[in-house]
Amino acid sequence: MGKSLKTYTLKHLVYILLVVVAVWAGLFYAFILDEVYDNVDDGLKNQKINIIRQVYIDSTVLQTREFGINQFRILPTDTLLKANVFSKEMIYMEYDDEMEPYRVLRTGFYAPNGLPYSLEIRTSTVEEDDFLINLTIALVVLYLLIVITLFLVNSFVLERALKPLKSLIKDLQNYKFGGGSRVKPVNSTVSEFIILDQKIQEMIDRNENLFLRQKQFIENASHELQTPLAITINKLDLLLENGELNEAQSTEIGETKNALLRMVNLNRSLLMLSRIENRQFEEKEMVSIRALFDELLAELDEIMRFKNLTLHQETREDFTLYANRNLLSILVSNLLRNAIRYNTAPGRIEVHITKNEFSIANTSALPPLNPTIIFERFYKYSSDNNSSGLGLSIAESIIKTYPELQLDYSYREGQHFFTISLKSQAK
Amino acid sequence: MRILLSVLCLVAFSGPLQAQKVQKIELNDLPEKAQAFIQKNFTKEKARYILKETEDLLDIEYKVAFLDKLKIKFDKKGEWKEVDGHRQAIPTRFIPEKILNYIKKSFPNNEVVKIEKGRKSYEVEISNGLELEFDANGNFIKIDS
Repeated sequence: MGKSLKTYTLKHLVYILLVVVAVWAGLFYAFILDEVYDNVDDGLKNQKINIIRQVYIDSTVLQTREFGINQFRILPTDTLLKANVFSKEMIYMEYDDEMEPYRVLRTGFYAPNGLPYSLEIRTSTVEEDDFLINLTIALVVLYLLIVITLFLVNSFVLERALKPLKSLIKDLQNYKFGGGSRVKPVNSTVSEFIILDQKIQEMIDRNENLFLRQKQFIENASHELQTPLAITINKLDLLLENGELNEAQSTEIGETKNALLRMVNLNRSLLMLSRIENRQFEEKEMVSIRALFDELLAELDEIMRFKNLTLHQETREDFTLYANRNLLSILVSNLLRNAIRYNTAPGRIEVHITKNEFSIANTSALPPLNPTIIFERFYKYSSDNNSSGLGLSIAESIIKTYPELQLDYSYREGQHFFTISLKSQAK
Repeated sequence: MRILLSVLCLVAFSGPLQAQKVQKIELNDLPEKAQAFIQKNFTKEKARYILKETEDLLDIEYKVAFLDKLKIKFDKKGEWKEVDGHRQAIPTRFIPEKILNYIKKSFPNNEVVKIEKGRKSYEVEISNGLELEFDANGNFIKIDS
């Protein structure tokens, strides 16, 4: 299971955003500090002009030797510094009992007496480390907000945008070939989804159609084979009845006829399978499994007695199904025939009928069977010539016709169990 | 780069052409306009020396130095370019009145100690060391600090 599209895009955005925010933070920090110093410096330069002007009006100003409330001092000097020199200095501030950063302007001027003086002006400025910390906090919050916003937008927008794709994927996951389930057309205005949907529908239709034609072909072929087979058997019967053959020839013909009869059986089973799969048994009615079983028992009673089989039937409640009577008859009959055919002689058959379940168990010389392959066509445990290998396939096809039913095989205490049950009840 | 350039100049102008030629001349040798300017504004002082500086044979500049350190620069037509009092007040009669008014108002008790005439502006230095900039009409532009 890979990442979903949503987390995939978000993961990449988170990394890219981190870089973008970091680069932006650096630029922002540099710009802001530059602007702050520019402003502070402009203020200091302006103050310089005012101070120098005042010196010429009020000569006492020239005696300002200490930084007082004015935040400047004038000192006599030998060499005049005409340029403006700015620096950052840490100066004790009483207010918060800490060294705080100051911006200091050092320059010089000529006093009215013509002597050079140096002038120092200072002002409190931005605390760079505090500013950096605050900026970092603000940016972390901003980053988280952006990521959360992206996540939400991603969740809502992508969820909405990808809704058609999700429904398509869900339908495809549940889609069974030839199972009659459909992939719902997506309801979207996104051209990609419309094309995808269209192409998938086309593909499914094409394949289903092919499959249907193939099934039809098998059915037709089986159907067409019936007549020549019947004619062949009739002709052989005529040959045998004529009495013109010697004994060896008659035996040969008899064996040929038996083989042909097996072929007829096989053909009939194939036809049945095709018909079931092509859903040619649509009529439904309420069918009592108990009654059905009893009818079949009457038919097969003789064979059972012949094979010396004992039947234990336990019916707590009748199992009734709304289904096709013929199909259910074939289903139960196939299971019962299997139980008789592969039984030991003498042997035992146990039948349990409850409200939601019909189970049939038989003793057998066969070891436990592999439940994954026993329902496959032409699967036989041994090379048994009398078996078509289609009985259980037919049973499974019938079960598949009714989605509410399931057919299970299990092996317990030397007995093979086949159970038909209602799905909701089984789970 | 600068060294390379000066080397190049030296090579280019060595020989018959001198990069700069300085001549000592008399007051009468100055362009008439310059003579009139001196006579009008600086009658009291006596010129210490007068130099004629010729650069590249074309660019001529005159420098007039007075006994009290004051120096005047003229271009080749005799227009004054710079009057530098070397921290002493200079006569102000030739300075546009607007400039003088501005200084009087904004920086009381200050004198003009130096004035420079550019192509479209004046640069004035006053007693306290500040340099003020004015346009050709004498309107204040900024303080060069």
